[in-house]
Amino acid sequence: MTEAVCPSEEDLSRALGGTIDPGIAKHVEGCSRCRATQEGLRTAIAHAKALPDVLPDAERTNEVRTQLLARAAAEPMEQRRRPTWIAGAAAAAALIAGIWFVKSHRETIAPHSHVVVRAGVGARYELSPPPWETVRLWEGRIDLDVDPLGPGDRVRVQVGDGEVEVRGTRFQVSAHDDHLVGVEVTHGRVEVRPAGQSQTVLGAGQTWQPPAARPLTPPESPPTPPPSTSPPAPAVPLATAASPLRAHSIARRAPRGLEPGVERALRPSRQEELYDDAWDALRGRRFDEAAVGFERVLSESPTGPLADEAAFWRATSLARGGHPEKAVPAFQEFVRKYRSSRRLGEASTILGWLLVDAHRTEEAAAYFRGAVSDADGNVRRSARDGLRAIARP
Amino acid sequence: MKGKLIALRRARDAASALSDEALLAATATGDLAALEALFERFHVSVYRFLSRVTTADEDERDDLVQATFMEARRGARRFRGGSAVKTWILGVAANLARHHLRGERRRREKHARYAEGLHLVAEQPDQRMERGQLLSAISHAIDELPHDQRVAFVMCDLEGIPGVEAANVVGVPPGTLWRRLHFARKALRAAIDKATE
Repeated sequence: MTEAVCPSEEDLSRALGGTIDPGIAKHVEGCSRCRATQEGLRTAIAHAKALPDVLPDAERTNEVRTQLLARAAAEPMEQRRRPTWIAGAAAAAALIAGIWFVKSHRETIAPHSHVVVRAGVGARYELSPPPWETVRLWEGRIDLDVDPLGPGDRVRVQVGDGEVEVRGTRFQVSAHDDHLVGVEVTHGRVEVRPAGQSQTVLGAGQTWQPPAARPLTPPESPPTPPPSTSPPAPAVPLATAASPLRAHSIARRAPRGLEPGVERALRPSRQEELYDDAWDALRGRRFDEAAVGFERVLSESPTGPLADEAAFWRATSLARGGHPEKAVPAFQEFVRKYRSSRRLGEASTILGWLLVDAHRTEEAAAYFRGAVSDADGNVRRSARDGLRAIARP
Repeated sequence: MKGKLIALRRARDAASALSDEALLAATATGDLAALEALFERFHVSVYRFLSRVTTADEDERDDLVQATFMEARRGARRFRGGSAVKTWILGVAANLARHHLRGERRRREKHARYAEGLHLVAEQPDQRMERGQLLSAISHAIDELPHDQRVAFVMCDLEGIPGVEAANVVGVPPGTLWRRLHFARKALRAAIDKATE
């Protein structure tokens, strides 16, 4: 076979894919050189196909989906013609996605809201705005961090068959199929009001489960409709304005109309009062005063239930008050001392950035690395950003 | 409350049952349920495609996936059925990837890291490592391809999209696409030859 009659390499290559040219196919059959050429190209394709796929993980996919729907909701199309029920669904999806998006991108300290919600996988919830903030939970487990409340403020979690009223505390609520299935209190006090049952007040470390022993956590693989398809929260709160627990910080005023035992339980401890005062200062951007306040909580009760939170917020107050030289050792102490704190990743990341600013990049990298697998997506992202910033020449 | 729940389920189910073309058309009307269903159907393909045609890291890739579906939504009215919906969406992704790749510095950094990885792999003697080295060389060679050739190769040879369809969504004559594909294959074959010498 001479070179003049052999098809070009490009034609041979083309014959591997699209329409087979019978002339080329016949030629290749009888030409070892062309056969080898095609075989070489075929091998290259086969090897490329053997490369491992890069696939997205479920959590990242959820984030992308939610952000996509939020962006799409914010960008209306020119013409919208759709059945009413789809319009309703789309509006609900947009609303929920928008709220989720805002929640997931909020700063740690939000001046206008008292609640930071961290949702578990598959959790469906919606948060109404202040002053009566209501977290409507349909499914899954959420972790709430509630600032001490001021006069007129109120925070509740509502599930189909009960509600939980909170006051400057940290706790988790689980629901399954719109039923309340568990409450766990990390610190502070929480009042649980299951429908048709007596109310219960929980303190730090206490848990609540319904009498019919449902599991505390929702099933591992709940049916996971994304947040964007959750139904909207009821417009009217379950409790009325006449509710005896309406809207007062326990540090300022004990609620009226409660049984004596409940009232006693809701009375704040000395540490909680100090903690509330420090929080008020932090919210008012009086950072130095806040740092001193949180320090006082720590010095009066170094192993109390509020110690880890006080240590974290003290360090944060120092950082926000423009004292990085004090904030760095404060965060370092927090990271060293509270290894099991859920704020460990967050503290490590903030510390990393403070050290980057101080040109202590090696130390910063170590803290960022410690946070890259944190449970919170925002923390992970920030830690990765930190590592990238350090790697940049 | 229950009524709303039922309606929402209907919305999701209805969107999921639509054909690709109908779903894209519904997306063009601003239907978010349809957009979500479109995302569910194609996001893995888009993610995999972008991971092959760009050197983006995870966060950038997520942004590109999101941008792809946003662009698909905006441009859905322009879809004329000249290709499969998946191919069309990958075409959108390819265009976005081209813009992304203008950050050449990012690419160089990745290649530098890649070279370090290759060096480590090369120190391992056993056969598994040799295969790993070969795959690394191919992956490296794909990264090194000019963007247009890489898109042609990934679309046609890895995603199995017919050449004419790929040419249509990329916006070039079929002959151009075949040429790009051929150059890409040749470069990969050369990389394999070099790695197995």
